[in-house]
Amino acid sequence: MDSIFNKIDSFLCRYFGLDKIEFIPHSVSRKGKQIFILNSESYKRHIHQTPFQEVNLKAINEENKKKLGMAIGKSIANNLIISFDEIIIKKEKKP
Amino acid sequence: MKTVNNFSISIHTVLRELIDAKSKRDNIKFTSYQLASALAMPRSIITKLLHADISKRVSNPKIETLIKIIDFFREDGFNVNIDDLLNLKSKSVDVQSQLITSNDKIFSVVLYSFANMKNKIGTIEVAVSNTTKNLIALQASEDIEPFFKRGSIFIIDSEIKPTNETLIAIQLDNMEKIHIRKYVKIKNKIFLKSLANEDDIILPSATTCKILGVIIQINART
Repeated sequence: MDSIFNKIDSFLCRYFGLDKIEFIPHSVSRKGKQIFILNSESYKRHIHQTPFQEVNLKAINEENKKKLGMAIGKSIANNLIISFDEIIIKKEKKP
Repeated sequence: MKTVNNFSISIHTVLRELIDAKSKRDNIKFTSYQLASALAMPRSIITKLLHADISKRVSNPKIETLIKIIDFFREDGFNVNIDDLLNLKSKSVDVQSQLITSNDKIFSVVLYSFANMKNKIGTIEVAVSNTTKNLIALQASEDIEPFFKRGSIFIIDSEIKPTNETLIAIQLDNMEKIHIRKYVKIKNKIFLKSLANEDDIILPSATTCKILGVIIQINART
């Protein structure tokens, strides 16, 4: 029965264009050794708290990702920015 | 190099500020001896909390002592609580109010290993503020507790002088390994705090601690 409801749910969501889940980070707070992100989720009214290491970055848009990195940096130290960009290392060719 | 307790620094600083503020407000010099007699406790307890020499301060005062101090200053009209005394307040930063600047520039930076700066890994291209000068990059060869996983890249500006609450890269005791510490300045005294344990504090000295620069960006591996 559940699988039928899930199929109907996914069909209706696709039909109405509601298939993209996006996390919107609101604030960052540091409690001892943990950094928590207060965020809301598409189609959900409540705000929930997620540890920094467990945040699904793929569900955050680029602008919010940059803002989140700046806020996390500020919660750790002054003049610090956290970036989530992929970095390509050009390794030295050995002679 | 000496390790001290974070609470003793916080209690010392806040208590000293409260005594100074009371003297200034009442226009009469208020001393630690007067505080001790007002609290009906031995002078030595207040003296040990306020001692100028950090190694002679008491690092684990009784909760009862701290409550008595807070109660005294609150009844005297000061807005202070136990969290202020122990520096326990959590800091919250709003994400949506952060301003994204467009003055970032792509720099080609040499990447070294945290374990050994003689060990050049390669070069990377990073977008950082165009006001930066002399950049180096360090790749974490192990997890940097409590926030960063192995492989995260730390961008360091070696020409910026550390200011209060900035993150710095240091080498200790002429060893090659690089450590990350928070630079904290309280009343002209410098403390280097560990990220993992705020109670683990180093008092730097020129012979044992070499500051490599200020960390301006961390490319966190998730």
